[in-house]
Amino acid sequence: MTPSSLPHPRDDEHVPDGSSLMGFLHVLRKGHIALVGREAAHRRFEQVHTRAHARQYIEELMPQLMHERNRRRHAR
Amino acid sequence: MNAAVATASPQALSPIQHVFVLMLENRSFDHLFALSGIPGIAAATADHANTYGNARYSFCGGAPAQMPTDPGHEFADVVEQLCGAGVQYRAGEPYPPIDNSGFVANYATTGSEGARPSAADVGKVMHGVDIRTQAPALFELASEFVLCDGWHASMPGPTWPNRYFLHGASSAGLEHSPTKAEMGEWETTNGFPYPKGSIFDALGKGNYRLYQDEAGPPLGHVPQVASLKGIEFFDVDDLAHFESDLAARYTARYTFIEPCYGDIVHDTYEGGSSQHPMDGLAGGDRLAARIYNAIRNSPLWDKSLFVILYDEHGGFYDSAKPGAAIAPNDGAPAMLNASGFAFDVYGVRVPAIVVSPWVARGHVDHTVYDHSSIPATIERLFGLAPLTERDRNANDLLPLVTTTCRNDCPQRIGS
Repeated sequence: MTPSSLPHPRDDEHVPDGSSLMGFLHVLRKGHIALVGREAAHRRFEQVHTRAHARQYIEELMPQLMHERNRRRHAR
Repeated sequence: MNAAVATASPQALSPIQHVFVLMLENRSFDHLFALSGIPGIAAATADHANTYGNARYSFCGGAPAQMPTDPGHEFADVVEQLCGAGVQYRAGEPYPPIDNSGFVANYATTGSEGARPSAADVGKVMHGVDIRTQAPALFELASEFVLCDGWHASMPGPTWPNRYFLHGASSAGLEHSPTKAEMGEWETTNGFPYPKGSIFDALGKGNYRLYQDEAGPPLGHVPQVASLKGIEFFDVDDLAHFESDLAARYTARYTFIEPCYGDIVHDTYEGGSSQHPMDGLAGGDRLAARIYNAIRNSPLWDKSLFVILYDEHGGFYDSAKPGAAIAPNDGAPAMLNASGFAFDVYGVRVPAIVVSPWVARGHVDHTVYDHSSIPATIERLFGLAPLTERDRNANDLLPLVTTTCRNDCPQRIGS
């Protein structure tokens, strides 16, 4: 994955509660819990406050989740 | 197949053995198809209008490829859009009278999706696209197969509850985009729990497949379906595998495909294939063509039914008045239902295209459907019991299946 490192004008905004973004972040957290356990996944998730944090979170988790997805696909 | 729920009789001798669904984002029927020129559709004309600030905004063409700001589509927004500016839903009372008069007023004033439009842009929710040029693959599919002009979102609200209706004929009372606290609660059940289970639970592992478009920015590759109890992120395959999977002893009865949502972080949705109003139509048009071409040129073509759907209207005007709906009545607790909505009214009308060699060419279907019509179709096709009262009473797609397999279907569409 290539991190989208360019700053965005909305990076400093808080992740809105009751939003699709909040929902998608929790989908990732659910996957992360399956990989590293609840405590570690929650510890990482609690660092997500702003949109910039959300982007970093997605960019950090996605390679791990994709790797596990591919591993399971090959195991099927 | 989950034998415990296989209590109904399967559709005898149906040629359809594989159902595929692609659910895109946030477009109303009139916005996409009213100006298509497809004969026989019930669609908006210039006589349909909203007023706002002493100005009259008639339905017309010229919809931009990307909206300047995202029209509202949360529950309270849709109440205004359908029932008029300033109208609010009151728990315990009937849904207010619907006249489709508040789309412009709501777009001008709501802040539920972020920035408000400039005064010059408030009428853009009344604009329809030129689908022949802006989404040519969808136009071709609608012209070559069946276009439904009576399909409604399952409830008058946003993406998440409507997608849940597709997967389980209920949103378990959810009528808004989920909050952090609510999703934290779902962690205790390892995902969004349906009181009566999902269509995936009913089918059982091995009888369904899940894919997501792997094209576009990585930020958009989070599958919403993985929020469900019983579905993991790892159960969703990259669509890159779809074509080869179809060619290799594909046994799944039901296949659900999600688009790439583009940049979900900054709410631009750019670079995706969902056709979100902030992104545009081209990516989703290519995706629909890609899926069609894969199925069309696979060994499954003459056993397939492919449905292209939109989860909700995204704040765009539609001229059809949503009618009464059957509540799921699935015993969902009231805690997710912030508005006290009775789930007894459909959402705004959305486009739906039904593709199969077993459906008539160029047919316009006026039957009333909602997203629960997908589980209803699967259940009646494969002998599964209904999940809730909504799908039990939903119209299914099986009457569209003819007795003759067409041999005039396009071999490929799109460029």
